[in-house]
Amino acid sequence: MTSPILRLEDVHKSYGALQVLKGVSLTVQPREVVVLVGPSGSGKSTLLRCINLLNPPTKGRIWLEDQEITAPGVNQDRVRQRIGMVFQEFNLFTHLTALGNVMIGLVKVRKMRKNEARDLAMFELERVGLADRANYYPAQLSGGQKQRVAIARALGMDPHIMLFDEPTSALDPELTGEVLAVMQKLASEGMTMIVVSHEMGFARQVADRIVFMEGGVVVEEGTPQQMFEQPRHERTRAFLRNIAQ
Amino acid sequence: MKKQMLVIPALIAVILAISACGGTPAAQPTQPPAQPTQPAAPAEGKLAQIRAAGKLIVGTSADYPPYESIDANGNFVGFDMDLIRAIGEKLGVEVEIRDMPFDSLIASLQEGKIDAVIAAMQATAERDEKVDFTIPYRMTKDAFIGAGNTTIIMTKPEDAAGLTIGVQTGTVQEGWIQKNLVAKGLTPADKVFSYERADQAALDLASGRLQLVLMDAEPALELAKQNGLKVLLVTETTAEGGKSIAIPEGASDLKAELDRIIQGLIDDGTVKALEEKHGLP
Amino acid sequence: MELLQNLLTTFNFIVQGLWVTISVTAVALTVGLAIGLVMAVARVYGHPALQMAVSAYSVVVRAVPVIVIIFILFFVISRYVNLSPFWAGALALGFASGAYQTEIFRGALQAVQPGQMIAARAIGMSRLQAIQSIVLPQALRLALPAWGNEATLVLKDSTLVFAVGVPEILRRAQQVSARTFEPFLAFGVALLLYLALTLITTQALQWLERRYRLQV
Repeated sequence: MTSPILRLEDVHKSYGALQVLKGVSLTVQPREVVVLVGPSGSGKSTLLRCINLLNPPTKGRIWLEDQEITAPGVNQDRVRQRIGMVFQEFNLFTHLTALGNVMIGLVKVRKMRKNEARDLAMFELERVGLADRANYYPAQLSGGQKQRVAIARALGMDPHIMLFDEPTSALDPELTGEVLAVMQKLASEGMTMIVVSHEMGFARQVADRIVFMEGGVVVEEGTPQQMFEQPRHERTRAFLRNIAQ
Repeated sequence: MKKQMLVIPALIAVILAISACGGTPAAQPTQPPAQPTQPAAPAEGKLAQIRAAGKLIVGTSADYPPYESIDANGNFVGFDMDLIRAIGEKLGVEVEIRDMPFDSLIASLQEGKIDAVIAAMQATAERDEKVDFTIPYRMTKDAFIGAGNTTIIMTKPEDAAGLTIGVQTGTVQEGWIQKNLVAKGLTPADKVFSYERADQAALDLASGRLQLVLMDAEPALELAKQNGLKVLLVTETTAEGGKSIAIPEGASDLKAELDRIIQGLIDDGTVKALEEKHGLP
Repeated sequence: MELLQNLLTTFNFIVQGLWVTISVTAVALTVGLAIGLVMAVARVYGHPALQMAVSAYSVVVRAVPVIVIIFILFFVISRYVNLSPFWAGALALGFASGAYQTEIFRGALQAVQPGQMIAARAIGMSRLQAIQSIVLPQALRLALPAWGNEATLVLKDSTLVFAVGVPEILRRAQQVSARTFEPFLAFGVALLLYLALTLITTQALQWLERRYRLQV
């Protein structure tokens, strides 16, 4: 048994009086693909932002590989380099080309020389099938292309784990396929991934494990087969039946 | 409301910070910081300072021919300019002339930016509180002027009562009008117009917006000649004393020396010669 | 013929103030830019106490006529630091413009979508790196039209430095007018010079705007 790549222990997050996460514990193994599902407001996105410390937990502990990243004195910027994140709204840097979006982290954060950074950035754009769009600005790209550039940008940092926050929710249905295909390819290459998504087809095909959250806690988790065919909780059954339609 | 209350202490902090900044020894490593209530340079020993520097820095407002103006080549010319250069020669120092607005002259002198002011300036009581003056180098006359086709006839300054009149702001003439015509109810306050410069008033005179302009006699003659205006009355009544050089308050050694030089230039006929050169009566 | 001769003499004299006007404006805009950028970043991303200090600076300076700031800098500050009229006037103008530029850049920084900062942090950039490399470059582009307007205002405010004895275009026009009694000629030349300066400035800025327009 390998040691887990990510371990969450009783993670809480509140904003003032509002409790969003009420004690989430989760373990993710290397190369595992975990799909987080649950009704809106159940705390899935908040959980992702706790994991990469964009919104650090108010209580509880998180380990990334051997390091407790919630410990005081941890360099959070260094932690985030190891955790790639893809957003629902893409958040591409509007003043930079596709290539520039991928390069800037390499130059500013990984301190690579420009030539090296350009080569690696082109490689990452090829990986998501957008080498021919390298010099386009975000405004000149379709939604699906934008999201693929965003994935390339995250991959450029050589992350140990990737977080996807509803990566296809803002896309027209005909554009979701190209993004899901890239994600599927990443999974097959062995990338560890946590995906918040309502794409049940993707979950069924690609996920090693599905985690159902509601009201800030994990209600149930299991393999896609277990979860879709023999869920133990009535809530899980109802939610998955609903969303499948 | 809360925000505004917070701004005030912050404002005070900023002001304190600014004054503290100015006082840091780093700004002037060789001198202790001066007290904010005093000018930068002590007025006492001013003459020695000027002699040591070899240079007398003089402020003027070069838009008042024939006393001071700038010729097409950018040189300061006029009666005052020639006079101050003659004075500089007697003092044995170079004269550097700086042009600035008339209203800034006294403040510049107080703050030690310049050593003296020569700008056809009269020693009014108000000015005398802030700076010192030499003896007059020329006694003053004023003139009332009107448009070329005016029908107004004047025999004494009080004949201006009730007429629309223009003066240069901050001048002795403005003070006389306010005290003797407006304050006594002879002229409504809204019939007195103050101009930054006398030539602006002359333009309004020509265009019919004013009936009279009261100003120093000599430039008035010049203006009248150039613009076809009519000189109605030349008088000493409205003028006070004469034109003097302003120097920093308390600069007694400088005053003594300048007074001596000016008297000498009057006595030896230099002033008279300059008056003739510049067409002054 | 005589008019042409007069025009030429007048122009030659006044145009000597052109360089003064340009220098004063350039110094003031540069100083204001430096102040404005630093203050705006402090105002948007700084510690609350810092934010308040910046607000105070901005409110006070914008409430005070520029001429008052020029006088204060020249007559009060220069008791301690030896400033020439040129530098006192130009710096005072820059100090005042800094407050306006602070507001311009504050608005621009706040107009950059929050997702940009979040995405920058997510790839491991520090806050400072994210501001420098992602937020500021976008804010500068957003600020350009308002900044161009401020540039023309500072150009016009540069006439105020004559209060401390810097002979710029307007003062030279006054001097000619006092000597020749031809105000229309003198101020007409001044008008043309300011018009030319403003046109050149706005054209240059419009070119910059087109060149760096943000594609949204």
